[in-house]
Amino acid sequence: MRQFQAMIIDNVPIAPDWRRLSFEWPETLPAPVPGQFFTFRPRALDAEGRGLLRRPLAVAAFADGIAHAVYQLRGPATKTLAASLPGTFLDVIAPLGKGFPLPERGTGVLLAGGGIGIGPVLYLASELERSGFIPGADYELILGFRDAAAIPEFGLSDTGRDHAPADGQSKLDAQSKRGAGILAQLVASAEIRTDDGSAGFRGTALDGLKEAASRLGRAKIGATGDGGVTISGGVTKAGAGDAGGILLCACGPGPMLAALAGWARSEGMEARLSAEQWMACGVGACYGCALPASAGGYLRACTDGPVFDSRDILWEACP
Amino acid sequence: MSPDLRVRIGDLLMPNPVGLASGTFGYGLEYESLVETDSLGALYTKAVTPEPRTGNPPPRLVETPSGMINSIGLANPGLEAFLRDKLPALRARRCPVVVNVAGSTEDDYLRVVEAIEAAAGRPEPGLKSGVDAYEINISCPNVKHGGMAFGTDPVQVERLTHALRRVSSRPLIVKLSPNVTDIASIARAAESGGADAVSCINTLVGMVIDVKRRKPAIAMGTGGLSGPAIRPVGVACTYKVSRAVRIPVIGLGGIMCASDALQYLLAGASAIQVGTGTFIDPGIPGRVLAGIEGWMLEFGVTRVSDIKNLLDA
Repeated sequence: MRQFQAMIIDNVPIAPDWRRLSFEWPETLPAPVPGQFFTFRPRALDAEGRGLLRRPLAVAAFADGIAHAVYQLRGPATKTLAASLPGTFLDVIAPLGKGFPLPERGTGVLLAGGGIGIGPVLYLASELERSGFIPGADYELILGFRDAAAIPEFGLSDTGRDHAPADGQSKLDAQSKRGAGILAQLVASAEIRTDDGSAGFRGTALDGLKEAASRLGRAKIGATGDGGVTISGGVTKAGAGDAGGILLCACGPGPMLAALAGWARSEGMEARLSAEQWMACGVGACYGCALPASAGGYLRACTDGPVFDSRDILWEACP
Repeated sequence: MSPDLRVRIGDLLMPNPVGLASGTFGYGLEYESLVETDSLGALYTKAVTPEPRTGNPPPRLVETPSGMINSIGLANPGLEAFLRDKLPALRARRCPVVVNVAGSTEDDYLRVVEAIEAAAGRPEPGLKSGVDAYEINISCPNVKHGGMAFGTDPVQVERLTHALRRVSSRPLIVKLSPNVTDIASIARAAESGGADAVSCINTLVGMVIDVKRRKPAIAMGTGGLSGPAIRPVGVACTYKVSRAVRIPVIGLGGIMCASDALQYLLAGASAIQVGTGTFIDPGIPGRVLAGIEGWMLEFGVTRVSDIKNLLDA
């Protein structure tokens, strides 16, 4: 991890109260892993003195040395961020936390993102594709939103720009568009679920996952016969064969994660869930971002996670 | 000629007055690639208690106007794990290490200090033992027993300090709570008990209520307020305490830049600590140090220990 002044390349609306932030990543810094996050320092306190602490955001795409994130305008820090123009600099610490394990080929991967939590899931999807996973056959991507209006449109980046890019920025601009294009393509190819049925299928991401699991299960059994999940990165997990060698990876609001953890448990399916929690330091020093652990005590969202084996956290007890 | 930045706390000579406050810097490794500790004055560890503590239920943090409230609950791996896992790495630190000690009873504090003394050996010049001093936390507002309950009673403060004085020759720094009627009387009690210095201030008790949910914002209800919001309180406490005792005062609370640190030094502090500021920007401790040195050059002050005599009041 490193602290650096990151040049903002893009900071554009993608849905009501949602924006895409794109910034230059130092060449000498290792690329972020899907599920990893960064913190930024808000530029100024608001009139009530709010906006002091750094805020964490997950990486949603990474291409051509540019990191992309999606964020929601929630409070003073994100409102200040929304006003930051391309070409200006943002105080960033990255990459932080433990990300999703990249599954070995042959594993069926279920990906689910809910609301503003789609970011890390989209990044994982793009990395799976890059390593040869085929959508529909090797992985399924389900995105859940409140309604049609909440679905981000990454193609909005051109209309959302309120100034012309400087000359030197045109190359960066093209590179940034590539990341936005990856995100747009992933959202377009995903199965969409909305709470009110105004887009895609009516229902939750979990409803979609249940159907996708059986489709993927059939595809996997047809393709490989069986499928024990082997996680790369030195950690080998056996015993996931019961669910047809399927790994669930997800990020979203707390109730969604609790529901997914319960479902994965009942299916005997391996699941990696990315949690969100307030944090002060982001590096494991303050112990502020505690989540209740299944083994007793607490785990830190920032350094023990934010991506956890779903069995390690008491999701129902998370605030 | 570059100014003399050294600060003496008992037998310990800190290379400069800028320390990293307890509870904001873990045990030194968490910020490894972000903060260059070698050039700083001291690293104050997260509190060590005899037994491992898992800490308080979440949410543990909330942001406040120009500050934050925390209720971590002294989460720490306990004495045994500290000696096994943390002390060896602290030994490799080039800057002085001050181990923060907490407990529920007087015996708890004694157990921690005695065990660390046994593991670290007698202090010898030039030998890195991993512990150069102790900061006695009698001011944590977030635990049911001990903590602040100790720090609000001068009789208990003197007795505890005296008991610890007998088991260690290393400098003892007593960390004071601002949640008292008369902080000067607590500081005098620590001095009478044999403390080498006092640090002030720990966090102020604070509370935020979420009016939509009609619930406190953090699980424990109240917590400790820190950050720039409490700086004027910290400076005033430093001013009062430094006029009540002869031992050095280490000032902390909301330091974000050199000018903030200089307020504490002018108020009477011999050294300072950066806490919440490190969360916000890990570059702050280094910039505070550079800024103090720059100010001294500008005003022709040759020794940092002279700054406390320069207040025109």
